[in-house]
Amino acid sequence: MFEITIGNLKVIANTEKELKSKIFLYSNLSYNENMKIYNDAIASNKKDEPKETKPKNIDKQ
Amino acid sequence: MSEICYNNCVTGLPTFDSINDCNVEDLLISGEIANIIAIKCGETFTDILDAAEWAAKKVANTISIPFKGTGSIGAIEGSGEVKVGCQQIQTIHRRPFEYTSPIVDKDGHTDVDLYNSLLAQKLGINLMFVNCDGILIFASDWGTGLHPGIKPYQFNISDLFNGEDGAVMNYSITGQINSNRILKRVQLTPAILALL
Repeated sequence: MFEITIGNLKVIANTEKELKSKIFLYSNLSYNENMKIYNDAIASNKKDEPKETKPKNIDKQ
Repeated sequence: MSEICYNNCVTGLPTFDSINDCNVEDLLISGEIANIIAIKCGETFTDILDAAEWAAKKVANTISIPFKGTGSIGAIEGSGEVKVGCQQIQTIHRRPFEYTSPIVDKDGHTDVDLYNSLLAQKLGINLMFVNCDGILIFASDWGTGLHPGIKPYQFNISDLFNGEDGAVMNYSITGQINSNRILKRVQLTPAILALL
């Protein structure tokens, strides 16, 4: 899930497609500026994702 | 003869993302206008997809939605030409619009005063449109907290009668909107469409 703030509005989107659509709707910036907000939000979301941890091999012999 | 090239005007051309165009019909939207919405100039929307905001504006009479009908928005027409760097630039851009509704208050005939009231306030009215897919068409530079209406350069309302056999009376709203950019669009929710 993505959560960003545009102006005073908190925008929540469940998918990347929805995020892009909402940024372009609620922002009055140019295409390139909107794409930067979108790419930053995607990058930030990936950074916040919990890192995949390998399961411990408890049956190790 | 060499051409003057203003390459500094290009700050980054947009990338048209690939879309799944296997089903072309699925990528089309209606070009027909089903509703015209008059909004008080300066009236802002925080969230244009919030039905509560629409309802509040309707109650406060800061938006007015004439009866359903049909209409269209024409192409951008430019005028006021000046020449810059050997290129003809048009400085004034307007688009014609027309809207017709056959619906009247057949019992009370109050529609006469409704339209006259709207017409009397035309200097403070901006416009939005809804197409037949329920998509709102509004000012291209809208963003949260801003005004979504498009300034009409001309705004006329007429009652149309004709002598055709079986013809019905129509209200016609016509004019031109100031716009030199592609208009913004968003799919309205069923809750908002129910308010229109």
